Amino acid sequence: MSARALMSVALGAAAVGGLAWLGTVLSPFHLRVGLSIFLSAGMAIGWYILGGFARYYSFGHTVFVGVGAFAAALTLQTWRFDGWVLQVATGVGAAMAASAVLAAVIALPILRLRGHYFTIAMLAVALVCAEAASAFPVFRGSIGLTLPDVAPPSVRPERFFYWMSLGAVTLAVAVAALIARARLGYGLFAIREDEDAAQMLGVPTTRCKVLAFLASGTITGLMGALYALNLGYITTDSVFRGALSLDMIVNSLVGGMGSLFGPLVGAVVMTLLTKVMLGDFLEYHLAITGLIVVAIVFLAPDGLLGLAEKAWRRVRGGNAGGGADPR
Amino acid sequence: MSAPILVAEGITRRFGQLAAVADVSFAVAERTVTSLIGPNGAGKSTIFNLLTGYVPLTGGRIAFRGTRIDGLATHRIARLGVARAFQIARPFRGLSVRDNVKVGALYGRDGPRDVAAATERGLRLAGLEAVAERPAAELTIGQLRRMEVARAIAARPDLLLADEPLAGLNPTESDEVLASLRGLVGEGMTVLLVEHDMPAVMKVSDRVLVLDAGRLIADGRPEDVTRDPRVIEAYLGAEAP
Ligand SMILES: Nc1ncnc2c1ncn2[C@@H]1O[C@H](COP(=O)(O)OP(=O)(O)OP(=O)(O)O)[C@@H](O)[C@H]1O
Ligand SMILES: [Mg+2]
Repeated sequence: MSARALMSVALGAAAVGGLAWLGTVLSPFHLRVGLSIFLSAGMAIGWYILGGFARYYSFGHTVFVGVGAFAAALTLQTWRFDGWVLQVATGVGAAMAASAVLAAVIALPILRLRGHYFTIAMLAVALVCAEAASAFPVFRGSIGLTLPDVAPPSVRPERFFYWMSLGAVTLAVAVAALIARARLGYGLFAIREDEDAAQMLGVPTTRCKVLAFLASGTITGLMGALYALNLGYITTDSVFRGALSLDMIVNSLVGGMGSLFGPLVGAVVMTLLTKVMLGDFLEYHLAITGLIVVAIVFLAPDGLLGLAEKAWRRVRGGNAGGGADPR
Repeated sequence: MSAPILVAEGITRRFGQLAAVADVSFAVAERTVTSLIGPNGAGKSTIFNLLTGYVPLTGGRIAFRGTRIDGLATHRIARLGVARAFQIARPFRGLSVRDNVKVGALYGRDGPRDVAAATERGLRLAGLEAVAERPAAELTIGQLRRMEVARAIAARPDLLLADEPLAGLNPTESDEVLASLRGLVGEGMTVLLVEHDMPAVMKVSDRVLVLDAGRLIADGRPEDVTRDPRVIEAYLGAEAP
């Protein structure tokens, strides 16, 4: 491992350690804010593995949140275990497995499509799956499903889910960072830049996209399971939500699509802005999100991090030639 | 001469009414530099598109090391050991020069083995070490051309298809790239070169193929080809107003 990689791992571990410690001192309200941030950051990172690395924008990624949530709820209703470890492992495991299977089934037909066609196809997949969750009585999507209370009695639920989702985000970031450094990551970057040229250099483009999609869907499904366990009760409408798909994209755009920090920063900023500062105007959430997207597109096309980088270069006196990534 | 590494038999490509490549047959001997020349629009780049599988054949067959490759996906052909440097550079703009070259090394014939060494070698042979950290979007046209060559070399191909690698280079740079190519042939690589710079072609080639309006009109040693009346006519004809 290079010195730089070692340094990143050390810094990351310190950050996670610090956040975990914060979990012991924060008030229940702040724990819930933290939990919201982690869940939305985890989903954004999941989305980013395909959407950011390869610029294959999925408009229907909520399908993995939904499938993960339903898989967790249905398995935990069928098999009742004692002890939070077994319960969480079962719910999360079922969610990841179901998301991976769904991703595998739709990957080949859908990833042969390029760019915009993929985007629209994912929107359609999400709508179809949401319909199915409501229409087929086995899924009970329209009546709703109750999930068991998995938090152990000795720990406040807010605190428990704060830690759980922190762990999940850490896993998501670690997987994404490993992919970015691996051969697969370079293949995805090449696809993002010029898919035909990539293929002529020997990049098996379909295989790269399928692998990224599997990782992306599985991680988003994991976040879906935690989302559902925290809610305690889900319906089709609460987990197959276009707004969730939108948030994943917006968080990445707001933070910046230049690196993995983008979706993280975006999730922090957007959660604080829409859920905390404007928490009394939740019914305007979509309108506010829309305004922010417009502002970002016009004022900071490379996201907040792109803006910060430009400002930093200007301060240092170098010429701000825009980001390294004009897309 | 050694066995041919590449054999094209009657390859044809039509675009509507136009036969961009018409019934062309040739063989490329291993460890040689073979040049493919011809006036603008003769079909040279189209032949590269056919050899790499980017554009499907409308007729004929292509064999690489005795195996049919026409009909294979482009990335499979690349993995067999055929690399291409594009005439119009196709850089991965958002990536650094080094990462561009690294993609070539990671997915080339030898796959993920010795990637760092192959990357550095590609950069060095193309004279790009000084700009390795820069985003490809910032390179000059000449540097982009060299990056095309570096990316292809890093793939450690058995057969390199170089489409006008010298265009836009100054004479010193040209000589460096030619020397690099010659060196690689000395190490066992085979080069199929498309080039408009005739003195360079005459100097570097073991064999020259001449294409005109999609047809192969000459095939032989450089000195013989330049004396061929049909070749002279094709070039003069193309240059007359
Ligand atoms: N995809 C395509 N669709 C239609 N026509 C094409 C296509 N590709 C090439 N052609 C035509 O085929 C002919 C040969 O083009 P090609 O690019 O192979 O020429 P070339 O020999 O490489 O020329 P140059 O020296 O200018 O690079 C041209 O008339 C060109 O317009
Ligand atoms: Mg050409």
